[in-house]
Amino acid sequence: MSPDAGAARRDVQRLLQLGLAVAAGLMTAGLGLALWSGAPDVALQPRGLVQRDLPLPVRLCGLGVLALAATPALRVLTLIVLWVRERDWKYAAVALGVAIVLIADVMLGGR
Amino acid sequence: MSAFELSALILLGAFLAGLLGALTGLGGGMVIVPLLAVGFGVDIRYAIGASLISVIATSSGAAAAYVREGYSNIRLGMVLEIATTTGALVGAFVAGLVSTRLIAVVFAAVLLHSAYLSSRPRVEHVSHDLSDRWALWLRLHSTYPTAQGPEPYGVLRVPLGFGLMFIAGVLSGLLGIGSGAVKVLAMDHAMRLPFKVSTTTSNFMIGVTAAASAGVYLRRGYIDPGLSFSVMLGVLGGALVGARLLPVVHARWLRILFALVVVGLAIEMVYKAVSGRI
Repeated sequence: MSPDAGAARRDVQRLLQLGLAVAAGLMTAGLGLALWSGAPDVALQPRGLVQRDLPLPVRLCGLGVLALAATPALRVLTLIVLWVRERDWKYAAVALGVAIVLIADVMLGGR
Repeated sequence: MSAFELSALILLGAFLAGLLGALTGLGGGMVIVPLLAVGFGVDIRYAIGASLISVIATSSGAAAAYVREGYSNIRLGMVLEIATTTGALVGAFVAGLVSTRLIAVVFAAVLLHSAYLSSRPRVEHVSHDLSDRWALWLRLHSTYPTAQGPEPYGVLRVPLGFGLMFIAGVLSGLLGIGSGAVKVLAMDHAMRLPFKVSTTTSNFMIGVTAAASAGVYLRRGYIDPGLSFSVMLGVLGGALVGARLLPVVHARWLRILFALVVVGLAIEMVYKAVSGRI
């Protein structure tokens, strides 16, 4: 079975939908909590998304953003697994190449 | 203005950007970055960070549907993602090194080029059974669903498409846009894919390209959760409404409207960049 075939397409589709749902859930929880507790807005300044000193609503929104950003990367990992399973080493290597660039982004991004 | 009022206004602006982006097929990122930077005075790097998050959300939502329907060419998308993610990494690094003024001017140039492209009629260039040797080696040829059943297509000029995809990635990392227009240009014009396959495969790839850029912006702290959430929610809502309106609205007027908005934003961005207010 190729990743262009029905079952693999369904796996990719479900993963993308799940990632969106988790991100939307976390962000909505953060927004709801902010509205309920009247949490102060945080001024724009370079900072991490889930730092301990951030208010909980902002941290939840930050986790939602991270979940969303991770969704396409998880899609790449899913395709690596599918191609390895069917021993399509050429495409497993291609997908691994994309994953390596994504990892390099996160490793080198702060420099 | 309170933070709540500002968030509501950004949400509304993002909704309109998403609506316009979906109706014209060029995505919300093209409008949201200048809107935030020029209209709301947000630092352009935060605007780009928020735009990238909205690009990932809209791409993931649309890609889920297109993948299921069998239009996207997953193998081709994955091969070209090597070029777009590498380009995105380069673009995001460059964005941290150059001035915000230069980014604004480059953005304005891309806006004007997009307005020009959207005003041109679309002509299908399909290679039904021809593929170049790279495409054959990588088994990139496939079929796509039509009313008459699965239609086969070949893939040509893979190295040229790969190079154009690298440029699309650089623009995505530098400007926070999906670069869908460049991706479609590469697949439709250079690689001779059917237009529906080009647009859906482009959409499939945009999420990964934007995630590559977002990784750098995340590490640099230029993705603000509150701003990103408002922008993502607005763009996503606008894109969903736009997709439903698409069959009933007049495409020619939309292209004119989009061109006017984009030219106006481009002039304003250049003016603010030159006068040092961006």
